[in-house]
Amino acid sequence: MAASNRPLFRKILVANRGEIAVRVIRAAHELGIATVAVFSEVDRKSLHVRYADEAIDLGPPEPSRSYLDQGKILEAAKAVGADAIHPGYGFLSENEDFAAACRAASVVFIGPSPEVIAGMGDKIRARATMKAAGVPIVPGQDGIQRETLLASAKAVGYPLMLKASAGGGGKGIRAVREESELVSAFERAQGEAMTAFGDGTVYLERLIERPHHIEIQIFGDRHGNYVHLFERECSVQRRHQKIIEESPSPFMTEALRASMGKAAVDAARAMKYEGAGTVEFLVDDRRNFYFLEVNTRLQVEHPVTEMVTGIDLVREQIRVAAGLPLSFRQSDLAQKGHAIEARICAEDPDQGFVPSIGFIRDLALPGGPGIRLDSALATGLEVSLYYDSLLAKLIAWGRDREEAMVRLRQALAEFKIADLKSNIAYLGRVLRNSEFVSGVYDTGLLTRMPTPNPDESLLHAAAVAAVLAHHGHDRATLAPSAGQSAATSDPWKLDGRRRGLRGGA
Amino acid sequence: MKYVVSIGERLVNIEVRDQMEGRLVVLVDGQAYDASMVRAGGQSLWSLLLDRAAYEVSVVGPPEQTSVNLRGREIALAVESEQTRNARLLEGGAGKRGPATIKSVMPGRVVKVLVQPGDQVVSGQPLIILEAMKMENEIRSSSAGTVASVFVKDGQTVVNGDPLVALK
Repeated sequence: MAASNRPLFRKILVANRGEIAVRVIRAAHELGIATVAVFSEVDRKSLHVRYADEAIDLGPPEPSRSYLDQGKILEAAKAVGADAIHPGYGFLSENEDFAAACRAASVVFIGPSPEVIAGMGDKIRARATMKAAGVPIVPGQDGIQRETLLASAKAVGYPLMLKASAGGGGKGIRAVREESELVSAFERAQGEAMTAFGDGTVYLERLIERPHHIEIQIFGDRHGNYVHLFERECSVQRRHQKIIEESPSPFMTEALRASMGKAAVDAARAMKYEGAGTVEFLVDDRRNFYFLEVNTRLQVEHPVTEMVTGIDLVREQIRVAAGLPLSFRQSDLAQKGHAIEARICAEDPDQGFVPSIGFIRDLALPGGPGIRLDSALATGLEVSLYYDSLLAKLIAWGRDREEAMVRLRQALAEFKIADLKSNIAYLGRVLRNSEFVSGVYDTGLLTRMPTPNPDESLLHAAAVAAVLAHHGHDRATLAPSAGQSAATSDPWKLDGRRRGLRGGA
Repeated sequence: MKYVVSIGERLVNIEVRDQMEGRLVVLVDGQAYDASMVRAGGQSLWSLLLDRAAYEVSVVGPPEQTSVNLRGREIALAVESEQTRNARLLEGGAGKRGPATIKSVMPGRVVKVLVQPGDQVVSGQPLIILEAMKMENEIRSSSAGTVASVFVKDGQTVVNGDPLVALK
């Protein structure tokens, strides 16, 4: 604990937007630290701007000219006298140049050192570090050239994965089942990596068939303490991006948890890791695990760990960045109950998950015991194509997996966003899918999911609702009442009691 | 008023009877319900009672392309008055609609055109790979048919609403 009541920092600038900026602002305020939001012009109305103590306009919406503009953000920090910057996830969170620039400007970057970020951001170097620390890695080959591509692929063996060395977020990744697919997959992966990261270097890894994607949350401080906060199961993925995460993993055994936890802590120690991080592993069906990558930042899915351990990870990040030792030891930690997170995204599951855009005109938010909503949603907000499609994270906690599942299902049924296409109903389908419910699932789950067949009574209700909504609207447009604007008139003229009241007024 | 609601291949006949004393009776494929629907928010959120069954419902989109969300399910449907439907059927033959045009739902860059005029496509088949937000997205066919024309080339930039492919 701090010896005095002085806050850990004077002021934290949050170099992010959306739900994660809101999350960080909350944690900072709870610690008595003032906050500064930054925003691009399309985010002027956003929640993070409304919740912060101060806010600075970064200008144009393009990320490169706003949330990724290191100069502008450091300048903003200087102008407001911020002594720390929290990068959230995405944007500058894993950018070693930015972490170094913060250091040079004497502003604390809340995250690991630039050296650690650089070492883990380069996936090829990260694999070498882990191998040296005794952490198992997926068999593979790097230094892939177009000329030697065929030979390298043969050496690794099919099926295999092509991955961008600078990769992340599912970009620059291609699965190759046979030699005939190799060249075009290589070109696509390289092209995508070049566009996304400005670096077209790719490497090959053997494809682990029907793998589980399980990650371990780690934490370290500058006093040599390293712990893990157990696992998160992240196998529900579409296009290599996670949409549902849970902890504990239904696939986990005590023995596997102990050995993966130990490997993760060994990795943290080998890196001299400071702050929150995640070691991602692939686990095959015989429970062999292989190092995948280290995410040197707070993960999107960090709330499931918070729900089962009771630890506020963002609060702990801030404390550790201020130089305090970890507030808990490994022996203090335990998993209590079960938590599942669903990522609410602006996208169309029927159109291959293409991002959707539009205005949020109506919102029905869920609640109830064990329900947590980390959200950037508000009525009147416009969702643009400039940024990630993640709108909110809905997390349910229960004493066991079954209770967490039924709570999440109920919360998803209550959750409505209009007029924006979202994946809420799709997430509900996953939560009802027998494979997911059984807990025996892998990363192929979504590709095997059958199309839904709603009850007859629901189809009827939907048909009636659509007719009545449009029917009422038709009447209003056909016969508008004189002098009433569209905004103030209720086009719904069929509800007798209300009509009676209005008539009497 | 009588309506026909299409949900995929399924047709549901709805008749709305605006009764006196503010009562509203709805017939769903001939079965009568007492109905009440009131706004529960801005423009899209409603509370619906069918006899005693209660639903919170969001209704989004124009009648011909409506998305209804209730009890965690999302149902895509089209509403047509019986009158309009009959007129359309008389004009265009049995249930035939005009050529479908697949439009871009986002600004982006065409990475690859996967079809050419004359190709037979099935519903859900990828037609074009469009790059937006640094991701490559597959634009898929909304129905089965033959490709009549392709409006874009590899490398071309498109904005929201630009026609990509026409089917016949």
